[in-house]
Amino acid sequence: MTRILVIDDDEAIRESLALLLQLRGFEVLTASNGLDGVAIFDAQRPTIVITDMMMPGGEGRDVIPQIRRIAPDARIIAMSGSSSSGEGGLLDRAAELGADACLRKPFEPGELFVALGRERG
Amino acid sequence: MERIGAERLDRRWRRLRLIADGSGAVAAGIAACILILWITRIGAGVSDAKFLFAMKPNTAIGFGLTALAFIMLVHGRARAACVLALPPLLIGLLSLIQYAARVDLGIDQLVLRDWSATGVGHPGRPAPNTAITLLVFDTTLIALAAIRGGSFRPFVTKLVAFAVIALAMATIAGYIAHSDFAIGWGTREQMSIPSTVCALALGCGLLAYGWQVETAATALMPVWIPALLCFAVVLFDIATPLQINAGICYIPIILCALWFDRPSVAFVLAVAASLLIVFGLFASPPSAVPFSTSILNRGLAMIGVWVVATLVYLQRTSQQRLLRNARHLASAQELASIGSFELEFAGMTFKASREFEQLHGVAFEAERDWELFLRRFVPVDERDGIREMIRAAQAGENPSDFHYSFLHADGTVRNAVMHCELLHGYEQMPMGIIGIIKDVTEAREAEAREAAIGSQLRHAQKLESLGTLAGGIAHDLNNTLVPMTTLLPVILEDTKDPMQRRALEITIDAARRAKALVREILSFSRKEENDVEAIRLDELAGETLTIVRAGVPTGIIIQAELSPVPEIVASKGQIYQIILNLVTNAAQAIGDRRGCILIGTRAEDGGMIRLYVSDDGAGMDEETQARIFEPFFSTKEAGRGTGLGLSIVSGIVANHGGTISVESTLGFGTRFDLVFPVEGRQDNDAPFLKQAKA
Repeated sequence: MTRILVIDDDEAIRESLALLLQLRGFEVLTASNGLDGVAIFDAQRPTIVITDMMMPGGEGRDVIPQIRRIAPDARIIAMSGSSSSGEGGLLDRAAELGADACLRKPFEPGELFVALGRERG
Repeated sequence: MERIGAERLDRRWRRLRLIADGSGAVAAGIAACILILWITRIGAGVSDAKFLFAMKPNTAIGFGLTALAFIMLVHGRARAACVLALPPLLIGLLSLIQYAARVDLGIDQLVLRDWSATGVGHPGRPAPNTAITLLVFDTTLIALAAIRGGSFRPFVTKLVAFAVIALAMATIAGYIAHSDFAIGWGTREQMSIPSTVCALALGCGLLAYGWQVETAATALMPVWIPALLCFAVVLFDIATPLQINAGICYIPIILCALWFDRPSVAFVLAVAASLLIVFGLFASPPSAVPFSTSILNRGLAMIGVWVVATLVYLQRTSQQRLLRNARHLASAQELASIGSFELEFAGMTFKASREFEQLHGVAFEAERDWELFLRRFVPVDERDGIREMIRAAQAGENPSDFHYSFLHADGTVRNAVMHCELLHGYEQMPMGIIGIIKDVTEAREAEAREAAIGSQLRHAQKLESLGTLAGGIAHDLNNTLVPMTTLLPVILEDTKDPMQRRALEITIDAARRAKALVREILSFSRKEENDVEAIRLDELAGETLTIVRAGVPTGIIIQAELSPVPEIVASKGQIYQIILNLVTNAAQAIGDRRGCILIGTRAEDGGMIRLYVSDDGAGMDEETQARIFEPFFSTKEAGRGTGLGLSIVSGIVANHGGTISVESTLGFGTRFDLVFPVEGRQDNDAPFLKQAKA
């Protein structure tokens, strides 16, 4: 079973993503900030990480390189609720940092599964 | 006071100098001829021919030297002038002393020792008037030569020239009137014709010299005026034998002060007249009238002279003050561009100041009909307002400030403000108004410009703060929407009950709408990539139309008037967004009816490009027009628009250095005009494009 780590400071988002992914047969881990996220990732080694780009306590831009260092082949999906493009756009920044896919909040299940790629639960 | 241009001054200077030189030469020539005649005694036998040869030797010496001294002065040889002027001065002075004291100082025999053949009393002695002429003239020459500069020059030269000419003219008058006492104050010594001609010549020469040293023509008087007036002096000589009222004859001389710009000339002339009155008392021949009566008469005359002098002085002082005030007022009005007028209710005529005329571009007659003025200069719809104000003023109401426009003579319409005050007459009856008008056209334009800039600034500030706010809200809203957008579709999949499915579908749809709305708000706060490039508005509009046509109802015809225009540097995406937005709005304004949308481009003067989109749709009232560029202002039903479209459009236009304006008539349609400069401006600091610190 593919293990997915969801990092977001918003509890509603964490839980709804966990629910959705569990319904689709994934095993879901959650973390409410970047530091916890990296620690959990290090301990549990999930295949996929879905991380918010803007959180208190370790932002997405710190999380992505750290995870990359720990597991270069992990699939990292970045998400953000602020503007997607433009100068300093967080998602552009995420792609530069090495995120494999980007999601613009709010997204629909279809968009999420496209981002997850071929991975199945 | 008229400043004379340098060239004109130069020409004038040369001419005056020529006159001065010529006059000096005439006087010197006559004196030299006479002196030669005396010395060679050729004329001794014909001395009775007094018209030709009655000029005394001393007079000839005096005039000769005086003329030379004058020529020296004119040519700037001050020392020579002083030396030459001194002997004739002494001749004049000593001669006068001899007359007054009835003594013989022996100077009469300077040249001619044997005068037995001449048949006159004192063949060597100048006549009294000649002596005065020499004394005054040479004193002046020495003063002018010795004292450099000083404002007294034009003043003194004019005064002395006047006196000399006056004496000479009086002599001529004496000859004409056959008065044997002409300028002899009762003695038998008479000023001869050659002396008179010399005195006239020197007087005119001095006058010319006086005008030559003036740079500004102040109170220039034509030569003939004082000369004519001085005929009055002859009255004195004619009256002398009677010994009655003799002094009074000098009073008219005082009036000559009216032609001098310094009021004090009246007193100078009064002093001269007083001296002459006293001198006449002693110089006149004995008569039957008692001496006490003569003194009384002359005393009265002197009082008369001084009374007249005082009146003339006061008159000149007040006249000059008035002139100064008038000049001051005219200059002040000109500097402030304020014209004034005075309207009399009695005849409804008005007088206008020069600046008033300047403001209207025409000269008015002295008394001008008010109604004619209104009809000529004030636009039809503004006349009644002014008439109303005047009517109120006639009823005694103090007029308030009044704004109106008037037609300038050059055809332009100008704005003015009128400020009036009521003029009261007997028993506070309103007699008229006195008012000022000020041309405020430029001030008005500046005010309007300022107001426009202010409103643009406020608009931009509003957009900026909204952008910041929207950025913050959007981020949170996006997070809040995630559970709905992700979970609801999953639940929908597993729901079989149609009612529940419908309920879920509606909720999902609402969440999607919320998402779209947040996107739109975000695009408002977001700084888009501004990939600017050179684009042609006509081409871009053409491209956009092919896309837009598909989305517009078939009942609406889109007509393009795309004349080729120069390129502008702009963001293609943003301009596309503008056109899309405007055309969509136009289509919505037409609605389901049949209608026409017109889109056009045109190159304009001043390197501007106009893009316009008009429709024959519903149109807007003025209140709506005033608010359409405000963010979140929408006329569309809830859910169909965010109210951000046009404010984004206006932001983009401003960001390209352009302007947007709207014209609309309710029921007839709307037209948007966008004007871009060819030198496109990309102002990256435009506030509404600043990224929200999300």
